[in-house]
Amino acid sequence: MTHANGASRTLSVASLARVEGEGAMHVVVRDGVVSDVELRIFEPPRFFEAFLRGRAATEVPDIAARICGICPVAYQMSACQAIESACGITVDEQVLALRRLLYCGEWIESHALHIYLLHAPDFLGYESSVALAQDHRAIVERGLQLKKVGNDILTVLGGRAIHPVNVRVGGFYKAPSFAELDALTERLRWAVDAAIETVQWVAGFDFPDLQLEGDLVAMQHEHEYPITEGRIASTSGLDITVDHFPEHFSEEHVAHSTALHGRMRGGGTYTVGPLARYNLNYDRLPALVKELAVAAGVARECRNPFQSIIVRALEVVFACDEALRIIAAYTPPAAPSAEMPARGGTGHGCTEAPRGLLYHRYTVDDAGVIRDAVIVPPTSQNQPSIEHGLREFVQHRLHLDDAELTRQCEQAIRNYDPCISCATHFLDLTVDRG
Amino acid sequence: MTLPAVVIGIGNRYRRDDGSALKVLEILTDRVPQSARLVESDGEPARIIDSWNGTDVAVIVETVRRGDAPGTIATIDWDTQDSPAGSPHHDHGSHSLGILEAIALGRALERMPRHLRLVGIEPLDLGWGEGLSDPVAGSIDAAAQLVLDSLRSLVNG
Repeated sequence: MTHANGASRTLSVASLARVEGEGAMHVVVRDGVVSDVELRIFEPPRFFEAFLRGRAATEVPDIAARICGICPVAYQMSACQAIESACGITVDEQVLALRRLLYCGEWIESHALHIYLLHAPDFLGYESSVALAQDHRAIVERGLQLKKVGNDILTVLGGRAIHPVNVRVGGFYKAPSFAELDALTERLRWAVDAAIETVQWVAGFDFPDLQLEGDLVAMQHEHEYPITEGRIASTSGLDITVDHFPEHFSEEHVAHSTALHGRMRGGGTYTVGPLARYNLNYDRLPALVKELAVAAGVARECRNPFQSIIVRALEVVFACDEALRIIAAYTPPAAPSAEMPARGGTGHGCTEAPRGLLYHRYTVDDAGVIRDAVIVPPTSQNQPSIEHGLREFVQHRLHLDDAELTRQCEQAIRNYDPCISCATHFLDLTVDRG
Repeated sequence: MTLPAVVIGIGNRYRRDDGSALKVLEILTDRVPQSARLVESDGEPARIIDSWNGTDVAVIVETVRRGDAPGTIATIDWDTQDSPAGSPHHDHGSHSLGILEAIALGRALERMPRHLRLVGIEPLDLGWGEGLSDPVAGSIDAAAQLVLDSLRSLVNG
């Protein structure tokens, strides 16, 4: 971070803290005006799209699960949906219900992680979740236990908590018995209460004034709060089936990031994620969640990115409640998976990852081999919107010193829960050899 | 059922030598004593804490850059010192979530194993792709043996 003279300065954060992966931020101010904002994301340069070409379509769920440690289910579900669409596979209703349950586990886990370990410390003046835990151990323990309930769902249905191995094109390798799912019920009932307490806790935070501008894009479903099924809708009136995604959205290369930037064709930036889902699907939430939303002061509409922490907490309540509903109604499917026919084609898949819309497209040949793959993750779609929002945010905070301005910018970025996936996990150590 | 020991391998098999710990876990599959279990991890701290929760001994295998020759194996015992032998750089990538945070958070929550040992393997290549570099591949057996020796000495220690 460096200071220039007077009203011109440059802020650089080489490695953003408390985002999942690798990222950096660069802000340039010239003569009192923010002239440049760049969020530098070191996302895999389409490694996985290239890696998947030439692989058997049946391998894709296992490989796609490795794209992100935090949301492997999202990658698996969008991938399965796209391949099933390409090959003309119809999936059993109970299998679809199990997929939704698995996805609920991922929402619970991902949102609890973000709320308690990544985002809440910002609002409470702590530099890290560790510092928060030192002063509020019981609260952080509640968050970790809530997260673990999500983990437990992934373990029962996915075979393990990271990179689930039980998912396949057409369904699952093995469907759980009712008793196996019912064993989760007691913990989920606790989780509903813990999630309600979470909403009440985060609703009491102080939120800076900021309004998210532009279009919000999310899936919409006739009857459900969207997770795995639906059309793609926007606050400006877009309403399309998933296979029309490429006609309405594009990705652009930018010099400062290896992640592509999402744009609406003929339009501008747009935002996906919890706020988009919430604003477009409030009516689909159960009464319990709506009552909590009213009490939290965000009923029906919420465009303040800082309040996304409340919306995530509301979505955790929803996901726990939805998981209980699915388990109560569950009867094992006749077969855990549909067979894969020897038929190729191009198919599209779209689901709501915890961070927002996740689109996959695959072309499969008649031998069942992937010939083309396109993956559009939520964070690359949000990147232009994050930069646009930061420009306004910084402009109104130029009176702050560099340290405080940088801290607030990092908090603003964390509002979007950017998942800059596929980072390495190595540890750098400096050794004093005396 | 909680077992007295856990071996946690942290890594990404699609980032070349970052997959070294997962390779170590593979060859340990049939070799660890029944009192220990093997856990693959992506480094997310809450899951790491859950993995060692209730265990007496945790051995973590991870790619560690110390500037040594590629393939060099180092061990660090975290239970015997307040802080690791060195500190993380923040200019080389993702360290916002990981083992250091897991240890700090585990300490704050008093959820630490009695013994915590890191077996680190120095990487050569952390680029995109599968497969280990030759020097790292050549160290996998030794790292696995070191894990077994650690379990033997720490579980009874």
